[in-house]
Amino acid sequence: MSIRMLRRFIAEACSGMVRNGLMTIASLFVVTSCLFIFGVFMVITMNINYIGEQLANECQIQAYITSEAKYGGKIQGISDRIKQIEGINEVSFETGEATFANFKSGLSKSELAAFEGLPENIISDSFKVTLTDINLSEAVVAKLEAIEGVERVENKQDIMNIVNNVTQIIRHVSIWIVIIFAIISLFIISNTIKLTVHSRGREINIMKYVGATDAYIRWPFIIEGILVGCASAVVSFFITQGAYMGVLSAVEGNTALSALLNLRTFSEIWNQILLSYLLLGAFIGAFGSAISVRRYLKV
Amino acid sequence: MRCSEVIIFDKVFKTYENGFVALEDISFHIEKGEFVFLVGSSAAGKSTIIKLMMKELDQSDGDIFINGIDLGDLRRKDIPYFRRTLGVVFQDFRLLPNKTAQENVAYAMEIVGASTREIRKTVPNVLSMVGLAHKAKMYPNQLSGGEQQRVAIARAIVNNPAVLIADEPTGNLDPDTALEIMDIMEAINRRGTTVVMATHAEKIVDNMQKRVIVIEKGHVAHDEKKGGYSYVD
Repeated sequence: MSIRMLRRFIAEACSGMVRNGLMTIASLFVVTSCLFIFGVFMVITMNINYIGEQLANECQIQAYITSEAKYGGKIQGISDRIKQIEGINEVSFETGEATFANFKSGLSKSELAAFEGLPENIISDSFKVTLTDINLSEAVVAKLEAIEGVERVENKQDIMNIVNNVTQIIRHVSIWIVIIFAIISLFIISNTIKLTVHSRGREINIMKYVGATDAYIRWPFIIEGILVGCASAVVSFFITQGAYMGVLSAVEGNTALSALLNLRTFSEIWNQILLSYLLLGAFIGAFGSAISVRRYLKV
Repeated sequence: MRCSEVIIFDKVFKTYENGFVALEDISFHIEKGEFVFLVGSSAAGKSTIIKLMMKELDQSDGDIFINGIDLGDLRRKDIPYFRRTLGVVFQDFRLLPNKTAQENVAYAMEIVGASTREIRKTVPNVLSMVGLAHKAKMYPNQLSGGEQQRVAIARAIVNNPAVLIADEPTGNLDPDTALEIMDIMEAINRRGTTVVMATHAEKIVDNMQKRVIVIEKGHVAHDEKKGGYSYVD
């Protein structure tokens, strides 16, 4: 395609959009709405993954070591072996004294009285381990238990399992919602584009009669579809930004919610949202136009 | 085939998918520079002949040659290039509604890859030729029927086709406007363009005394060098 042709196609696409203003606005509205709803689920999925990651980090596994290992100089060896286990995010060493002091710091005076007189080294030294993926907890626990010098492994398995199950379910559901909604959007949008093209079916026939090739007719429509898709993407992006900022400030304003939900800031996710919108909008616009024009080319 | 023959129909048959036999054993030759009327009653087969000439339809049997191209062998992807060798004018004008008169004419040049400079030079000349230079920037809905047909003719001839095919070009026009359109068609013919025109306009055919091919029930009933409409039953 020559530069001259491309310029003509773009000019043709722009004038098509302007001269069919109402249909262009209708397409823009539908594509924007679909992209926005798609974006809502996308943002929810992104935040669920983020919350899942945070929970995984917060769910620590504690591997207590035997006194033989402690006094036999095996601490470094155990630390190295732990670091080799797949799915380990961070490993930190804690002395028994520190663990006991931490435990006591959470107790009231009356409760502390019960622990008076006990030696400070009553608890074994331990390694605190966080995971990259909460799903790996069982496998990691098994591997930690198998390490020589590890006395016992303590993990909040019940809590982990609940968190794990809930995040898994929400993650799966939201991914399916995103996929299903993307398909529904594709269907709705391509039908809207079909309507736009249908209103110009006679125009396409005339172009065929005067000797225009299929490609010559199709390209301006495809470019028009891409332009409408991209314009809708930008509009949806700004609507999403406004809505997301609104949700963020509502969450921040509510103490209970903000303690529970630590959401991503918009600056962390804006590029992913804009890119997804632009790609999806342009693809749907181009694909919908190409398919819709095809049926009018058979003259 | 003589090289002066630009249109050849040789034993052409056309049966539609519903079984209707539109043409049976149609044969005629049209030479370069001729002006030919295709006449006949409704559903006689005139429009089918025009559609076959434009390769809008495929013949069921027989051979059709236009400008030396065997339409039976023409591949689908080559049809647009074949149509560029023809100028076509329809009863309902078929102008692009969202383009001005000059843009409609320019479109026919754009699709053949003409440069912008060439288009800017040629389009005003062709619009002047059909007497519409002053309405170049008007949209079809701002023009009268006769003016729209002039734009359609300008578009049809802007690429200097060897053959101009017109399907009832005066069918939607009042008698005076129809005569003006026929003057333009005759002027185009005088420049050497072969004109084939399907029509019901009895007076026009009688006045012009050009070759008349009468189609009746899918057959060539008469073929007169200088005929009139009276041959139609």
